[in-house]
Amino acid sequence: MKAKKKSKMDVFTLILMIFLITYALSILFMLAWGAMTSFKSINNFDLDGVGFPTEFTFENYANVITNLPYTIQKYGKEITVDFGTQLYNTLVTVVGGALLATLSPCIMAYCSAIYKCKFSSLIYWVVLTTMMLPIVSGYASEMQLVRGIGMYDNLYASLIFKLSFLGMYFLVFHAAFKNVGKEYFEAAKIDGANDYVIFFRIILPLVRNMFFTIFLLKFILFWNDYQTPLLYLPTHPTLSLGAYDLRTNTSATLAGEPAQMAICMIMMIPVLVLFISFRKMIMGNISMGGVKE
Amino acid sequence: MKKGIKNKMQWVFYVSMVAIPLLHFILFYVYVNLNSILLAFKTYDASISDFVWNKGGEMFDNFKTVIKMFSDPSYAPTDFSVAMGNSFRNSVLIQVLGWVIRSPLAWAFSWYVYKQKFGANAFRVILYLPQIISSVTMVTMFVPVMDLVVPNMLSELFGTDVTSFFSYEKEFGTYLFYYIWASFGGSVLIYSGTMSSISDSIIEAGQVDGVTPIQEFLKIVLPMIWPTIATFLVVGCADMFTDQMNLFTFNRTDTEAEFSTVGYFLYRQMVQGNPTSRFPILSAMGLCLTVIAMPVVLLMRWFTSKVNPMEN
Repeated sequence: MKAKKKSKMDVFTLILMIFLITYALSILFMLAWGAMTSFKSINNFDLDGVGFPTEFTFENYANVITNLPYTIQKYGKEITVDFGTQLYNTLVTVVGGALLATLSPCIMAYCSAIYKCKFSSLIYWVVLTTMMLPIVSGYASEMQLVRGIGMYDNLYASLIFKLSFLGMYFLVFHAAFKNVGKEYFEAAKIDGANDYVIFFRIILPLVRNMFFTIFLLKFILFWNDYQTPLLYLPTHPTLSLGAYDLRTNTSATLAGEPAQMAICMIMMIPVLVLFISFRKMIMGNISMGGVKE
Repeated sequence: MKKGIKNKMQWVFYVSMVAIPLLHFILFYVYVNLNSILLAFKTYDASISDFVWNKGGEMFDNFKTVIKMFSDPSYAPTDFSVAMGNSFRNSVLIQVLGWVIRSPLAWAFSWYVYKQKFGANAFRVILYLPQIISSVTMVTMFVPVMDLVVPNMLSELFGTDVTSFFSYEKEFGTYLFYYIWASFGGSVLIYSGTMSSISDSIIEAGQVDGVTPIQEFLKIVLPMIWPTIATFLVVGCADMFTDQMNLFTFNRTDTEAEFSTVGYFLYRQMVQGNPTSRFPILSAMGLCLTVIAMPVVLLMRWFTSKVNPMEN
């Protein structure tokens, strides 16, 4: 973002600043309270739910990692899915899903932006139109399809869900590919490169930062999503679903706010690390729709 | 750069690249939506475990049921665990709140960040935090804070007994507060990014003419980013009946019908018990809601194209 000259404080700015400080404090207070509570014993929390812990304990983290249960019904029996399995399910759905969900709009945008034919224009029109269509709830029909083609409750097949190219990221890739200079294509052709080599070895590396940023955003989105696994992967719970389930857990070791805050911290740390590590990339100048000239 | 497809090898490349995403689109968008229309005219027959067509005078039975659900908030069809309650009203309410509170706040905060006022970079990160932290984590922390911590602190501060913000009379207000509080950071990122592409010379010309900061915000910056604002408003309308207001995260399937939204109601009916027999009515409801939302989206598109702040 361009640096703007700092100006004198006026009433409008002052009001906004007060609002923003209040907002920031409310967010930070909640996160700090959550982190602090995760280090309290349940007795300490019962005596004082607001203040600092009288002694720091990692017991909640150990309990959550060793005991985080997710009970499922399979073959007529109750089976408990442990933390490790939930982590594996999460990694498969999140890493695989983010990769496919980034690759699909990237490929379609490339074909639409570079190859001149009626179908390319149609793809672009379809993306724009579907973004504006207020279609409400295809849940029932989608569930019927998913069950019909054997995707229901299938961890690996569920990745097919993520292959959609519709949405804003298609437009972001499309704009980037349209700006690629023709000299790249001409030089590659002279060197005898075919279309696959041009795309995978020359053009894709040119947009690698954008690709990686969208991959990260999708990674965070899927990491946090518990509703899709709840609906379509009932016996393959992810960590997010396990954390959601813990909110109503009544077992002796996991009931209560300290254990709930510990799983919150465990869920939050990977995305915060990613966010802090790639903050500039994720929060780089994203703009949409442009400005009026 | 755009080039024609000149030879067979290029066709092979093109078809091989678009085939899988296209197949996905045909299955999960075209087929799903067409099947949704067909399902709306069927009924589940438990004896054969399949859907059968509604024939003759029963053809529109599912739509009649949906109209009855809309007109009588306490009516729940057979197999439905709960009535729609105030779902429709609440979905419209949060859409309006989005227009009158969330969007103006997002524009103003974006201007603050864009102008690099005091603490702008820190605020930018903090505003974005609720977008990257999962709703489960946010809600799990928010509930005890508003249920226990804040009432305790307020009680001590003012010396009076402050009840939980999840007590019955405050509950819906708390959901609305959370909805606004946790949701506008992502748009701040995009709005401020778009504002940064406004030419410095335009801002400087305004300052030479003596515009105040609020005039600069209202009369220069907002009109300049109008295309982005218009896009957000139109796309936001398209989500009107799918927004769950985080109710499932707060309460699973236990939210009172009077606090429900349409998005929450639909998802709840899909995860509660065995939903198969509800599919036809849910599909009919989806069709009716699409028909209701379509003119709202078109009206918003018309409004955003006609209201051109640059010309006023």
